[in-house]
Amino acid sequence: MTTLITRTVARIVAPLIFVTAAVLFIQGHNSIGGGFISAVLIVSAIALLYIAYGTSDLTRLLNISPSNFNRKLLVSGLLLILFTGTVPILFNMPFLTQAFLILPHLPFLGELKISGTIFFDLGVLFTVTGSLLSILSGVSR
Amino acid sequence: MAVIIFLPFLAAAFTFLIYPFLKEKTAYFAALIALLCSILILNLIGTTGSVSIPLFSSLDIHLRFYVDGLSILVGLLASGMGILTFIYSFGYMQTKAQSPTYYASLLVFMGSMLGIAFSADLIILFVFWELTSLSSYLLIGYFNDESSSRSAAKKALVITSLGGFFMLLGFLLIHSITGSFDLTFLLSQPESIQSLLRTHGVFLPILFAIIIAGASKSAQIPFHIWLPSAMVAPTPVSAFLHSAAMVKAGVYILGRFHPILAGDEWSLILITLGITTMIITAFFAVISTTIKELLAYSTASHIGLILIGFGIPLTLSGVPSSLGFVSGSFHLFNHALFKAALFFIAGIVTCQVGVNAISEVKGLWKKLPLTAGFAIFASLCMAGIPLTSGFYSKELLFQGVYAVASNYGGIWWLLPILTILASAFAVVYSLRFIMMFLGTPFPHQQDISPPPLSMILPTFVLILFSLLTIIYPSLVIDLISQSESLYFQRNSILHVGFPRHVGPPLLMSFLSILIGIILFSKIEQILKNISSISSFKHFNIDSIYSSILSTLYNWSSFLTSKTERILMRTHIIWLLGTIGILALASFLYSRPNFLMIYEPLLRFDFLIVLLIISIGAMAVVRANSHIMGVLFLSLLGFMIAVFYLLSNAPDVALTQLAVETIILVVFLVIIGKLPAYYGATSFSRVIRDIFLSLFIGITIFFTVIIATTSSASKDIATFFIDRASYPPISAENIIVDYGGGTNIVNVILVDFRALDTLGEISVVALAALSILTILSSRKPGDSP
Repeated sequence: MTTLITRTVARIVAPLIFVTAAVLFIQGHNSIGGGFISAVLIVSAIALLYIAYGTSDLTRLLNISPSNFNRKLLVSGLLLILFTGTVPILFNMPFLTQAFLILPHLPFLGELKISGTIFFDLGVLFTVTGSLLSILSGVSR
Repeated sequence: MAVIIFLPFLAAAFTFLIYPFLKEKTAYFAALIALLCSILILNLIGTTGSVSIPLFSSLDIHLRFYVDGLSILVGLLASGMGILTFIYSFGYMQTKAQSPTYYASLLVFMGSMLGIAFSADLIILFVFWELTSLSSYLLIGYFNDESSSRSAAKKALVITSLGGFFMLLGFLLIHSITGSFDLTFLLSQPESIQSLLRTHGVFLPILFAIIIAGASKSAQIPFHIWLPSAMVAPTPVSAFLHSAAMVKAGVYILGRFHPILAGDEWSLILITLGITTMIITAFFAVISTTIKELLAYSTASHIGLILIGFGIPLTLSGVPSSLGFVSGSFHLFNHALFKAALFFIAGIVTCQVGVNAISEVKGLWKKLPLTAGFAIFASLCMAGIPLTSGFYSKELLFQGVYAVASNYGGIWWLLPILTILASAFAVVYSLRFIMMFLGTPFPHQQDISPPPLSMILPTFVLILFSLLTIIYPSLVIDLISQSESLYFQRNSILHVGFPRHVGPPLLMSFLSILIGIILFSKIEQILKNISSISSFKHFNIDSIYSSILSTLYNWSSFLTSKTERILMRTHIIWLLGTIGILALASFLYSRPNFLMIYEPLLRFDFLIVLLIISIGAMAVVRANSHIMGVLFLSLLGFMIAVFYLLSNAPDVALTQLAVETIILVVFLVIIGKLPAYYGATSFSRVIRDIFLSLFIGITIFFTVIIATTSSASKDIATFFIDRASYPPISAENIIVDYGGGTNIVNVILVDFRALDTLGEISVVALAALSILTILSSRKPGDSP
């Protein structure tokens, strides 16, 4: 399947998917998106690259051992949620309590709202990406 | 408060990071953590009270901590012994295979022990309890090259988690009646709680459950078998396990529930259990052949004595008395000191001399004078010789035993007699331990080097504390009394120390020492006679244990062979069939009322999508190659995404699309490795498959109908809608009560039901890991 056309298309499309995933991740709290969707999109982009370039090329390109990296990603996502989830306990609130912060007067941006759930969502992103990538690389081996 | 308990766990995670730099000096890092914990606990002395931090408030599970004398005593033992154990490990582990796992699991072990000591929430207590089982499993099986290590670790795990199971059962029963997991609440009115439990008829089951839990952890008969086996662990671990952790966790839990459960049944069971264990294991200790075996059995025996103490009724001849509780706790403390010291000494002997058998060591005092001195002192404590710490607590316990006998009379007079006999055994095995250091040394044991400072120093500290207890016994007694005065009225100040007048307890002591010395003079003959019938040594419980285990193995492998063939479809049949039966059975049982809603389906665009889906489904079945099947299957998936889109659920549609794409890719990757087609299918298999798919279809149909029509109350929906976005007016910058997002579904996922989401992604992670495991266990050439 690794024709020149596939490779060229993949080279153009994959970054687009990554950007889309990033946008979906950030806007997730207010409109369509979220950690899970962007994780799945990221995986599909990587799957596209796998198909176009093959596992070995990609591994050399990124200079990582995929299965090891995926597993680390998976575990770090769960640990991230676990650790950020215990923070509220220090403030005498239940595990995984979420809060958000309003910064009313920022230059250029105006009012900005930062939600603590971003860490939770990031954890979801990591875990799902790690899991799906491990499955993918395990199957394709 | 929470810091004390989380510190060791955090440090355990760090050990893996710092181990490459510190190597064996990690032991000192861990010792530092333990020191920090003990300083924090020392700060708590004199305070009582509880802290509560909500954890899963909707499940009534909170991080509750409770501080009183008993928990401080056990906490101090755990952290203090922790310091010494880590320092000792530095010396001991130098000749052994090292890894950060050792220090990490020992830290977790200590942390969960502290957790047991201070938790006031029964569920949290249970979690820590299981954590001690798990970490001790890793530690006992540390030398995992040897099969004896592995089986000993498994034995400890099986037996103690059996106890843990009973404990959970007891806790849930308590919760079902009192509606509370809060130990502070339960302990605030023990009598009324007990009468409440009694009127509901669950008192006895709870009593049994808690006692089984305690007995399994503290190695009481018939659960004692794991303790001697566990001596394959590295010696510092044994010392910790016997003196401050694991075994003491069992005793602690009994002491903790003592105020709630104390009564006639409690006394009867505990005293019977205690005396049986005390005498039998003391006898085993006398006839044991290796040093650590002797110490292991003697631990079980001493714990038996402590249980007798806890079993002594709260009122004797009409006078309330806390004698049993205090003396039991006091003996717990003394036992921890001398037993840890003895284990440290045993470790020195095995390391420096290189033998395990008692009979092969003699006259070590010439080469190891300091160790010999410590050994003799600690053994005398263990034997309960007058003017030692062991004597003080034993004297109190003798007093209690005598009081019980004189109060009830009759068959109860057996109790002091058996106690004297068991104590005489204690004198015998203590003398056997001492004899390793006295006399003329064997000629071949000449080149013995002195132990490193890191091994002798902890021993010295323990001896020092024992001496301190001998001079100021009131220090410990006051600490214990602090918790005891909360539950019991104190009637008298206990006299601790050398008795001022000659009474029955003193006579009992002297009698036991006398019998012990007489027995010891005939020890050679006794050992010779015993060795001919050594088969009964393990009371045959070991063989019962292994036969139960092998029966279970056989059953499970029989079941596995029936349900889990190599073929994937056999798996799937059992899996889907079970799910279907369970789901339908629950619907039949609960009989939810459901009504069909046709309205939404009558839209024109829906009908078109449904039509395409049906055609696709037919095409999947009719497809004559894998590729066609998979492609039609993903057509189905994409159509479902369209369906979501039409029903105003763009989030779900997007997710469905992306997931469907990945599934397609995975399928396409696998297809190349599948055989072209299954070939001819037999008629019976077709029939079976038709029935199975019909059954699953029906299950899913009903599930969907019931799930969509039985909507939750409107309140929850309005709550989510109200709270998901921003508060109307707010002066604060940080807002907790509101979600702060306009995508309600996502806010619910990450905020209100974050715990559910965490559970879901954990499932995803677990699924990925198990798929990896299955894939990597596949041998090349196996059919997929």
